[in-house]
Amino acid sequence: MTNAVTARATPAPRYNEAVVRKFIIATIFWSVVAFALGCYIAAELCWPALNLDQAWLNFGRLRPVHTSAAIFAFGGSALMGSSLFVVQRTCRARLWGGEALANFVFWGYQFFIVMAALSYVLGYSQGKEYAEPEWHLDLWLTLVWVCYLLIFVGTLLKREEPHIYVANWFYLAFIVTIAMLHVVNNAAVPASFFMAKSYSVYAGVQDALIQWWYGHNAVGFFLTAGFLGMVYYFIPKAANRPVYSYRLSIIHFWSLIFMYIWAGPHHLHYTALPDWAQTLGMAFSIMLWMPSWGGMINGMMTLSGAWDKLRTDPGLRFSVTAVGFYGMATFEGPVMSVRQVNSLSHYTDWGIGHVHSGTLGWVSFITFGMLYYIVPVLWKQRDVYSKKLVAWHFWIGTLGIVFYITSMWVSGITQGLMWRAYDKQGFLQYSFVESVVAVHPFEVVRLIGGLMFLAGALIMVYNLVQTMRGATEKTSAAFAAQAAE
Amino acid sequence: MPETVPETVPETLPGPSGVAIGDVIVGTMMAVLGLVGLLMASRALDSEIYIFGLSLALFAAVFDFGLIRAHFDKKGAQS
Amino acid sequence: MRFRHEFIEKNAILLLVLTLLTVSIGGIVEIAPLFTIETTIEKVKGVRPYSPLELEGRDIYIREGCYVCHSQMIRSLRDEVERYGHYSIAAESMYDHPFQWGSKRIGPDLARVGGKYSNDWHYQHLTNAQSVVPESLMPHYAFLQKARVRTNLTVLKMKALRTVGVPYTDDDLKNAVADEYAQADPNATTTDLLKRYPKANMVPGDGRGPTEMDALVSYLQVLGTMVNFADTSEEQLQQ
Repeated sequence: MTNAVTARATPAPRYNEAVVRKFIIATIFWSVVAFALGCYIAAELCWPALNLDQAWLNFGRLRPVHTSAAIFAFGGSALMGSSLFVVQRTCRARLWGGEALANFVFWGYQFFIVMAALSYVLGYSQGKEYAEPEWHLDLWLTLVWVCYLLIFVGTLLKREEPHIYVANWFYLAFIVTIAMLHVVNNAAVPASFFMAKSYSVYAGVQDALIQWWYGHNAVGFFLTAGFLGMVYYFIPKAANRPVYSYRLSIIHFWSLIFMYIWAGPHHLHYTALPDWAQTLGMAFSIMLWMPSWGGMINGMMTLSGAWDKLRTDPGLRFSVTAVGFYGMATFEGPVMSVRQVNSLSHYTDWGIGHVHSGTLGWVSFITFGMLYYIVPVLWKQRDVYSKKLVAWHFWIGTLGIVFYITSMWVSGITQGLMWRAYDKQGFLQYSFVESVVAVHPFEVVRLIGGLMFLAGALIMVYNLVQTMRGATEKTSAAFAAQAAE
Repeated sequence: MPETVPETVPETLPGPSGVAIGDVIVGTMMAVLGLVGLLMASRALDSEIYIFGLSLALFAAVFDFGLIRAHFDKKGAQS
Repeated sequence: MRFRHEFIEKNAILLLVLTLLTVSIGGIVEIAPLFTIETTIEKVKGVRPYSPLELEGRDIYIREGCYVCHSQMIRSLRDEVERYGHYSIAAESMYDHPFQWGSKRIGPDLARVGGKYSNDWHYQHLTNAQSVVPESLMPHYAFLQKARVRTNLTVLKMKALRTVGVPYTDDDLKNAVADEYAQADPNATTTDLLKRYPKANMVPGDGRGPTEMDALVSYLQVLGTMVNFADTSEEQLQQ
């Protein structure tokens, strides 16, 4: 009997977890790719012979592969997977649009990532940072993203809960704003429909501001708002406590999304961008400190009364440390946006260190915390395979970050000071290449930090794969309790 | 055990085939995009568009086969 | 009546619209005036569209990701001006689609590298940077010398640029291929080329069509040379 009536009568599983599982596997896979590529290009900066005289291995072509793999492949898969998980659970509704659409979003997004990476190494790039894919890939991503937005909003609309949970506000803001940024920043005219070469419709100073409006809000909405969605769901879940303050959540949300958008011009201090725009960007960057820390406090204080869980749940340790790093990076950011500080820090490794305290300490750690929580749930296991290995991952990863950030601080400040140093006669004291030589040891330390972070991720992969394979003892009762929540 | 949730939109089309609406829409979209890919590849002026066009066509074909397979798997499980 | 946030929380479309409005404000206030305030781009003489060969060179610069290690933006700071030359002004990148100001100096700034070194130095340096600067971290770009520029596609690029506002004339488009050959051919007559593109730098090609290396060097050699700052008054530089 295979007619429509029986098809409709067949009970649909409560949630579409198949697509979430796919995104989670993709997240785990891309994490290793992104970190390994980062290590390789860091090594190229220590020993340029590693470029191996191959055009496609050159630093200039590989760096976008690293940044895209980290932000869009690893971060994007984590965000899409976790958001589709959270929206179903907190709305008590299955994903809108059916399985085909959800699968299209998954495979379409992975297709985008692979094709983008391939295009970079082949030498096709728009030449705008974090927006390197050429026009045809931009259009493809737009299509996938609109479908993602439709699924998300559609699920919100058919929810059975009266309220939209706070985590979903952040996920929604992330999806909507990224769509806006992507479309505006990538507006370009192709040389031909049959050529992967296009020219931005903006030029020079306008293009610069639009690019950093995009670039900084890729940080603000992709790497912050989206991951704050994780904070508001997975920390309360893992700690089994409600969010610390509902009112703070509201203030945090609206002030953060309002202010972030203004901060872009701090990437353009002392440049040909008019002063008024620089000042405006700086002012909002400093103000941004407040909502950022409001969010940090809200995340941290959710643990009040449950701090002991940090001892027993190493996954939660990742989430909480991530919020700590978030606080640190969002303090460092406003400091660096002050023009006088920026005159020293800009163009140097300090910027690289700042970005990585955000991406390694905040984005990756919050994702690891999410993974250690979500994988047992999705694969119907009682817990992760080995908590001891989680602890190992935590310490190796944290130490790696410390190596990375401190070496980049030292290196960046060294570069900044050497470039502006004068000798007694009033001449510039150092040639540029002397600054290159001076920071070499710190570049090596950075590589070591990166390798440690990669090693930690590999431990995680082993641990999670073992978890998925059911290597822990299965307790059907515990699973049933979990499923019934 | 999994509970049922009432769907606000019917998951399947009426009629003997019982194909899901989403399958039809997404499947058609992919078929069209696959053809666009072939068109791009056929007149490509650089290797990127050539590779992208062919990959898009291949991706679309595999994706649509996946839809068809999932549909019959589901049907098979019901009968 | 007291405002209750609950109302927004219960209405997905309202939440969506309010979010979109909230995130639009900052961008509109900051970006729109850059297009409307006339002084944003200084009124200086000399900035011209790139010659066809320079344009191809610029596309190679973008293709190889040069901007991830080299900035093209000299900030208005004393040490930068002394190291690299006059600070960059907005007018100098008014035809740059996209801009290439960069964000990181793994290598030095290139905004005024034009004319600083000889053509020969650039060929040698691009082929093997360490043979000129032993401590350099730069990859080798010898492969550029082996590939010819696809001159038949340059016109398509110029047309696209014209669509986005670069003032290429019909004459420029008609002569694109000839100009490309001429700029990389020591035996060619270059009067017309120089009339269309003043200060264009001739590169020593073999006359059998420019290589990608020729194109890139021609681009590097024009960087920062278009505006004559000796002839430019402080007032003209006011934004």
